Amino acid sequence: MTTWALGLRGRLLLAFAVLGLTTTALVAGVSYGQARTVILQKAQDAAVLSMVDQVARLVPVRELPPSQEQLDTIARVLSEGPDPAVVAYRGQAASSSSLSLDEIPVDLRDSVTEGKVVWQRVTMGGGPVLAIGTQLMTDQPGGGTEPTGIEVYRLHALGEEQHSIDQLAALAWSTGAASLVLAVLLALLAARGVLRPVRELGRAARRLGEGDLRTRATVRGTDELAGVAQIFNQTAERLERQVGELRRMEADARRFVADVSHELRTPLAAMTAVTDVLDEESARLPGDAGKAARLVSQETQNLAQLVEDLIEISRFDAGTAALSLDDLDVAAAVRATLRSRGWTDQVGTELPDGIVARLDPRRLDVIVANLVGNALRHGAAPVTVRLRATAGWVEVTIADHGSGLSPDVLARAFDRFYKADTARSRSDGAGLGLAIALENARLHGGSLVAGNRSPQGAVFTLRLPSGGQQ
Amino acid sequence: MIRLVRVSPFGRVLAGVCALLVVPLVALLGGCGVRPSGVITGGPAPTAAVGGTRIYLLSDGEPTLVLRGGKPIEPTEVLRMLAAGPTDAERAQGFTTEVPSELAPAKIGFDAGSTLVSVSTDVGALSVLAVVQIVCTVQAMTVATPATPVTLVSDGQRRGPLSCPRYP
Repeated sequence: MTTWALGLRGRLLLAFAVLGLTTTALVAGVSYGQARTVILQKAQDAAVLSMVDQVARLVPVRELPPSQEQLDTIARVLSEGPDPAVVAYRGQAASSSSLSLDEIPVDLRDSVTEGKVVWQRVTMGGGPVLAIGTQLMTDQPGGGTEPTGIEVYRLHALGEEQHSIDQLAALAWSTGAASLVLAVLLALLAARGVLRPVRELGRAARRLGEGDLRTRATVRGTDELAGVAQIFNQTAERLERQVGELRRMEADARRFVADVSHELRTPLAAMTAVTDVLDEESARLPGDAGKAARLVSQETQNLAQLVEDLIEISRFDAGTAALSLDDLDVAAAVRATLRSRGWTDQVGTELPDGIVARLDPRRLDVIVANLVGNALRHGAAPVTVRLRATAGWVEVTIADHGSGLSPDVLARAFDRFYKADTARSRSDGAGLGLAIALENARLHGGSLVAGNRSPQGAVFTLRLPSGGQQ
Repeated sequence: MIRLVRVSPFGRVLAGVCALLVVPLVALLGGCGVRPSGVITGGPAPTAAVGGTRIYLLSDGEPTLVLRGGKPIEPTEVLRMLAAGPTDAERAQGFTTEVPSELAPAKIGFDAGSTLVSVSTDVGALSVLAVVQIVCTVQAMTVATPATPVTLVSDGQRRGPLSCPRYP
């Protein structure tokens, strides 16, 4: 789920923030609630006590039901402070003071008759107000008390308490904010401690993946991350050793091929000289002897070619192949290649004159000869060679009208000794031609790409930089 | 295709913490500042001394204390005052009486720990409320604690000894 796709840093931040906020909210919230209760209770108790005290010290009532004048007098006495009061008799006749009986909550008025002091917090005029109500009792002769029917109500504003509580709330909020900031800072610190080694490890792994097998991670401390770094280092070491071994073995194998090829070269030169003589004599040899002489001659030529190819490949592998660049007319060079192989009649050309590039003439010849030879052998006529120049590049395309290359063949066309047609006779070549062509193109800093073209046929595109090696 | 939604253990823990702590906390605090409350009941209502003459009239069918100003008067005068019933002002506020005006003149005496009230009307014919009015008024005049019970007497008929009912 993407919602949780947070990084390590994000998760740590979130966890710390939640922890900090929760703790602060709990502590601040609970103490806020308690402080609020205490403040309110204190204020309420004080207001109630003050009123009860004042009521108990009223001038004795001499008339019941009380006259309006009497009610007004009591109300006036009780209103002397900052809190307005109203006095009623049995819930009806009220004193004509600044406070009207209607402003007292009905619930409170109903509860007053039970003979207890009652109070209620209400919102009045935008602020919290404490409404206190009580009945005036009198001693009954012979014990007990009885209600006189006089009810006293007083309002006490809780503005100051509201202010104190608001301040408490503000303090709680700022504590929360400070704790959040602290939590975030701590989380960032913790994340840094974890993330730095992880990031270093990631960098080392990436370098290793890119082929730098000597990469090692820094092992710091003895924690789990250090353990991971150690394991990484061990793995990298083993990998380096094994890859080194493989490389050495491969180099040995290549050197062996190169050595063998070189060793074969001298006897082959002698054999070629002999077969040249045999070729001349074969016409005069009778029957099977002539056939055998021609066969030996042909196979010797093939073997010589194979050895030449192997030596060429070995040079590429050993990195000793060197370009000898020359300014040359590419169209003329290609034409010369076709002419020297005797392919001029079999190949259609589109070779505009005047394209000059700085190339190795021998290698260009090898590439073009291998590609055209390949097209002639495996593709279908007509084979065409096209040349064109683009900015900084010359492009030679060799196309045929055969059945084209299957995806399988396309992927492996340039592999050594790869033969697309397994039934192909071995006299067609060893399968090194395209590999050599590719190596030559790369040596120039260019590219050689195999592909198919519509409607049918394979096409090989050779691109070489016209200004020499890039 | 159904895609399974995966919540990481971390996410689950976080959600749990939120549900466990934050939600009740918000509920606990409710809001800030001073909030209105219901009616809170405290201690007993304050008691104050009263002056004047105490008699009991009926208001909504209940014997109710009524104070009359003026100088202190004789007990028999108080009973006459009770028999006279509510004044116009009191009547306007809904006071009534069931004590017959023929009650007066009455005599008050003492006999064996009981206050004897001798009246001229038939005490057997007095309503319960009238008896309560008389008993309470007589007891309010005495200062003994506990108050002496009151017996109504007329022509050999007696009711009592009785005491004024207590108020809560």
